Amino acid sequence: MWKWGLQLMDSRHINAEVFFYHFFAFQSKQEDMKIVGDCTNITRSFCDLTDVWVNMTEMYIPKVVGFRGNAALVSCMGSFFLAMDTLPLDPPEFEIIGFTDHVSVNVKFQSVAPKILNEEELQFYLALIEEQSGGIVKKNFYKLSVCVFPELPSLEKVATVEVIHINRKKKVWNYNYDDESDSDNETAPRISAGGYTTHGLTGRLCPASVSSATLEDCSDPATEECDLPEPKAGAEALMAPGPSPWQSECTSRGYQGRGNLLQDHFSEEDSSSTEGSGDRIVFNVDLNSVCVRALEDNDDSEVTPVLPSRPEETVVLEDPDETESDLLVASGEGTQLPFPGPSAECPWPEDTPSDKSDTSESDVDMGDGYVTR
Amino acid sequence: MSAEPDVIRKCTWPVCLVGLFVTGILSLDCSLLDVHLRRVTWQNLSLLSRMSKSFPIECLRESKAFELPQEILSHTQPLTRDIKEAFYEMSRQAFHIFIQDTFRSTWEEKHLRQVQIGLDQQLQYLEQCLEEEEEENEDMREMAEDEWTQSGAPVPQLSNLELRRYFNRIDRFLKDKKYSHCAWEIVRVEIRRCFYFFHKFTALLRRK
Repeated sequence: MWKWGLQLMDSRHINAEVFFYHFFAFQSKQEDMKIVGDCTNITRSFCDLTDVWVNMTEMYIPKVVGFRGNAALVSCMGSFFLAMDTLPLDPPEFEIIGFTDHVSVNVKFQSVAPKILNEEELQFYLALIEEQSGGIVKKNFYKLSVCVFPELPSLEKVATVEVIHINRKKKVWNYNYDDESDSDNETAPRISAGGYTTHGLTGRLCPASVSSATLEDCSDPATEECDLPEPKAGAEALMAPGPSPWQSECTSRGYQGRGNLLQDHFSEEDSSSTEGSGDRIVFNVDLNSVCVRALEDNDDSEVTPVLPSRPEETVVLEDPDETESDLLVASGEGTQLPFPGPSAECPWPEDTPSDKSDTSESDVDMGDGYVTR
Repeated sequence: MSAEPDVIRKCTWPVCLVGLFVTGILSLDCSLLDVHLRRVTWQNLSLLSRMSKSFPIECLRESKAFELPQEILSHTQPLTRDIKEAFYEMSRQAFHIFIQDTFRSTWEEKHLRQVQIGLDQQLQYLEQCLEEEEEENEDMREMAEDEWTQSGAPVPQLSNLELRRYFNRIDRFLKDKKYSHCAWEIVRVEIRRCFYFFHKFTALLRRK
């Protein structure tokens, strides 16, 4: 479960006497800070804002203040633009749960808060899927299931084809009649359990109903941020901060996210095509029914989430509107957020004893069930 | 004897090749417009995020609600052309904002240039595809507009007007704040939000 919140990394000064209050404001609105009801007068510095921050277009200004008595011991502020400043969402899992006159597919989003799904991204993309499919794909939001009503494809098309490559030359038994044969450069096709060749490539299969399936229709699940690649016509670059529109139309067989994208395996395969043709099976697939993604060298950079800031980077914390405390002891080491994102620097008093050890900057088990990322 | 004709002949062919090459770069398959726009918009969005490490908290007090007209893309049946035109208007207005060179001290110039190039690229794509569409589907567009008007829905051009007003508010804010550091940071964040909003709707461009 994805958690958004604030955590003070330097927990040495945290003890039972310090109570925290969490606030946030919208950058675009001149409103007072809103207090987070569930994170008021608490002993932990971390607050789960997953169900509070639901607007992806807004920039949130969070603030956490730690009090000892009436004295504000620490105050931290930062800024988050959720679309850019959060880690990418995990790709959903697909589960085919029925196959009669239609294909029922359960799409399980693992790392997205329910409110986000309800209020913005999922609604938008599922509606888009339904619309774009011309009614072939029906969504059942509450069960998070998607039913696909394609014309029933032949078994050969739905078979365990895992690899398709449109540039792959058709293998033909060579009796050595043709000196120009390039069989030396070919490789023996791998035989899958279903008796079909796999050609040693990876890819994703789209249902036959997606007749217009092209490179851009099979998008990668959402990953954020990217370095600037060279513009490449036809290269898929659909990056959305949420589930991509076509995910539910792609079966998940062998789905491994970006690691399963089409690569130039030909150059890496062994040239061992000189074996007998008796075990060789030529497998033809209607390429209009499959989804192929050509991975360019720079595509990785386009989908690779770029951490907006490094732990070393800090935001100068100032509290211009500090009214709840007159005594802000600003000294001591700065603290840093445990998960990638805009950092916040929170001053601590030097002489405050510590009862806890420092936590790492990576995933941290807060001990109360939260894992910050 | 004049060597000029020889020089001209020698230079003409390479120039033609360069011209064809450049034309090849600039020409775009408009059936992939949504893909290109989605990528370029996201690149611009990323650039705006990286131009500044984080939003200066001291600038928070000067924030302003510019009221991005989100409703322009919220019609039940937005026409693809309307979305493209809205995209074009947004790109043009944003380009006008960032082409002002009064904020070189706020951000690194290379980042600024990249944003300008990205917006210019968007404009080129859209100009080409809108012109192609205008030539090919003029009659169909007129019919669609008639139906749109008869249905009681707002005239499509109203969305561009709302966009212009929105960017005019941004431009006026910059002038009123005398192009201060905080003013530019606030504008940066606002336009990034605008880009994100439009990025979401690139998917609608797939509608045929």
